[in-house]
Amino acid sequence: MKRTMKMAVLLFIFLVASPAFSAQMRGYPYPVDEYVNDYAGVMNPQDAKAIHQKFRDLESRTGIEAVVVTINDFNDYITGDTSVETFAKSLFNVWGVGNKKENDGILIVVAVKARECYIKMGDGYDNKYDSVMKEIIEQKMIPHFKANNFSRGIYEGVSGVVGKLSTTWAVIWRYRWQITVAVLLILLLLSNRTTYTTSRWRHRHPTPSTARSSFGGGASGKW
Amino acid sequence: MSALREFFTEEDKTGILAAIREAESRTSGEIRVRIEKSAGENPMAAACAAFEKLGMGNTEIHNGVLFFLAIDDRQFVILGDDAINEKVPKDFWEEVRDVVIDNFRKGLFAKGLAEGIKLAGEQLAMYFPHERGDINELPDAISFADEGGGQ
Repeated sequence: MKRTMKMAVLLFIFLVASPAFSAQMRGYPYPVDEYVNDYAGVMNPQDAKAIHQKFRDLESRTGIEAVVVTINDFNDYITGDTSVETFAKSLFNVWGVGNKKENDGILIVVAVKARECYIKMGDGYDNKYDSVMKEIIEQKMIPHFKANNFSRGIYEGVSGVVGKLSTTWAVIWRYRWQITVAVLLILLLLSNRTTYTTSRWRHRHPTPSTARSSFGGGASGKW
Repeated sequence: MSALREFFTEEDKTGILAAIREAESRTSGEIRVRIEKSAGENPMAAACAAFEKLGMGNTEIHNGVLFFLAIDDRQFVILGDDAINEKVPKDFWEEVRDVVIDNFRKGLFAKGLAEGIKLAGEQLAMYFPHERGDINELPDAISFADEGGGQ
């Protein structure tokens, strides 16, 4: 009894202290991993590890945060959601997937028993990505899901998503400020160098040994 | 009376000084004439040295113009400081030189200088108009090498 009390107190402290466990969680699962949250238990370790690596690379190259979640059914969670789509959208916000400023997060939700899949993209993405993601689901994921190979289907889907997002432009976009600053610095250095040259010439000019080119200007001739 | 000083008659000098005074009344730029015996192998360098010697390189806005003559070498150099050089047309110095030398070849030294000074003065007046409080030190406007560098 005493022990149970202690546990309860500990749990209570944990709940209060953990910001993610605030009222916002509202019945949504607590994230157990940065990239792969296999609540349905369908991922094989190799695929999970490979996805881990892909998402980690994507994040370091483009700053895009992506998460994959497997559940059996959205009904398993008391959230009031009516579809995998609303579940995914809510979970995306509850977990705060992606960079808030860029709103570039990606959340892939696969409901195994419900046989539904949804890819939620942050509002920072153009609408054209909707069809891109739809294509990935239909061509890379669903065929494997139909064969009950969820792990493979999810891995293929992740590969497709990462491939579409990890473009050169995405990298440039991510470092656009750094690139802008670098370009400005280079321009500044170049213009500084010009100024420096001019002023140096100006101060050096009328030493007897220097010819006219180091002077302001003039002309000479014999009569 | 030094030999170089005798190169110009008093009338010549009056004419040159009048040209300088007229030009400098309309500009903050400085115009000087320097007469030397020889310019050595590099007239331009000799002119630069004279420019410095006369303190013309120290003008605050670098708008001095020097007319340099080396009598024995029959060499003439016109030299304009950075600020004026940046503003005048590219062939301006050559143009002034040609006007001056054309006259020199006819033996008209005072006239050549006066005309060159007038041209230079016009450009200077355009870009460096006369400011209140400018003091022209006319006695130094023509300097002779055998007088210890003038100034």
